[in-house]
Amino acid sequence: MITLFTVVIYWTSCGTMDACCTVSDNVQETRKLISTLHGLTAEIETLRSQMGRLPRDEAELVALRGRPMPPSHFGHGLISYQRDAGRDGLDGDYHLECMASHFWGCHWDIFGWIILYYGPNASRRFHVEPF
Amino acid sequence: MGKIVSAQEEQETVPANRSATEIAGHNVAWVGWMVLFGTIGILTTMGVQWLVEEWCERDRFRQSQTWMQDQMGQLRRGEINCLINPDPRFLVELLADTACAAKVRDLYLGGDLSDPRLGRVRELPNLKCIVFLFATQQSAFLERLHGMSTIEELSFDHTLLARNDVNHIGSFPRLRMLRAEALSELSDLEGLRGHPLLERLSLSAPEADNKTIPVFQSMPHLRDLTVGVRYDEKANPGSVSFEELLAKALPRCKCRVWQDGR
Repeated sequence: MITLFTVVIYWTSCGTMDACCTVSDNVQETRKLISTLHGLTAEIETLRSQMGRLPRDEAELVALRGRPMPPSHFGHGLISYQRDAGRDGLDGDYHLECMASHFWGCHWDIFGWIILYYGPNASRRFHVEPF
Repeated sequence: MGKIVSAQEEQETVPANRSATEIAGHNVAWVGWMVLFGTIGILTTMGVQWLVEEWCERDRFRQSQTWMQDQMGQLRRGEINCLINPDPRFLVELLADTACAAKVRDLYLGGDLSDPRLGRVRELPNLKCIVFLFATQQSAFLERLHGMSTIEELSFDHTLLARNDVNHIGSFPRLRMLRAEALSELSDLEGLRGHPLLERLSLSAPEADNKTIPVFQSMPHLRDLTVGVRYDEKANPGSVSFEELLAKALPRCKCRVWQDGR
């Protein structure tokens, strides 16, 4: 009985602690991701002003930055850079794309999300689509 | 048959000198112990859970404080010009550093926005853009910012807006760009009627509503309008599309209509 009692308390404590820490970490991941996307856009805009044009593609952006694209912070690979000119419905000139499994500590959808972060000339800033 | 045999065996194991009353008393004692242990167990578990939650809250507090300090450091160094999901408890720290607060141009918010302390973001002197991402309870927050004169851009992603929210949005006198992905209906836009500076509008609503065209016409600077509506298979195939109506009504505005679910 005492063993069962100890196990139940241990299990409950671990579960609660794990749940609290996960939510806290997930909120932090979302913050870091937005910060990274915001910072990367600022870098791209600096490159645009220096070169008079945007990097043609991700390979050129990586070469110009001198380092690989940053991670998405969610363990779903790297952030990618895509040009939008001429693509249907995308009125800006580029966007950054990555995947996320949750926002602010909540999953909202079991399959995760595709995040599109647009450059300053687009009519939208942020768009999140279900995966 | 097997059951009968086992009952007989059980009867044989009971000492002959123990009466039925003693056996019943023994069982009641067992139930009593179980209830006592159960109650102690539940109370202890609740106590431990409370302690663990307290510990987690302290951890969250530290994490949020560190996050705010990191962001303030980046703002001071000019590395960023945005504030991401600030913990309302530390907004005072940011606002106390006027040089740092003056550098905040963009604000990203999500989750529960009901905390009244969040309303202090209206003291950020150069705040121009707010992005709402998976936000809840945004009505109270928008009410606290009512009429804020620095706001130029608002974006709502996965944040359901009601008519009252749009009324508050319409009160931002310098608003130039609005993206509202989840309006309950287009007629809720009445709060934006005659907005003096709105240039770019990107909306999404369940269905097209021709009655909103005069609202769009009443905005003198509107030059870019994107409307996403749910595809309606019952729409008359021969009728003039909403996009055509918009193009005709707003000749100087670039109009696009999206149909979801096609």
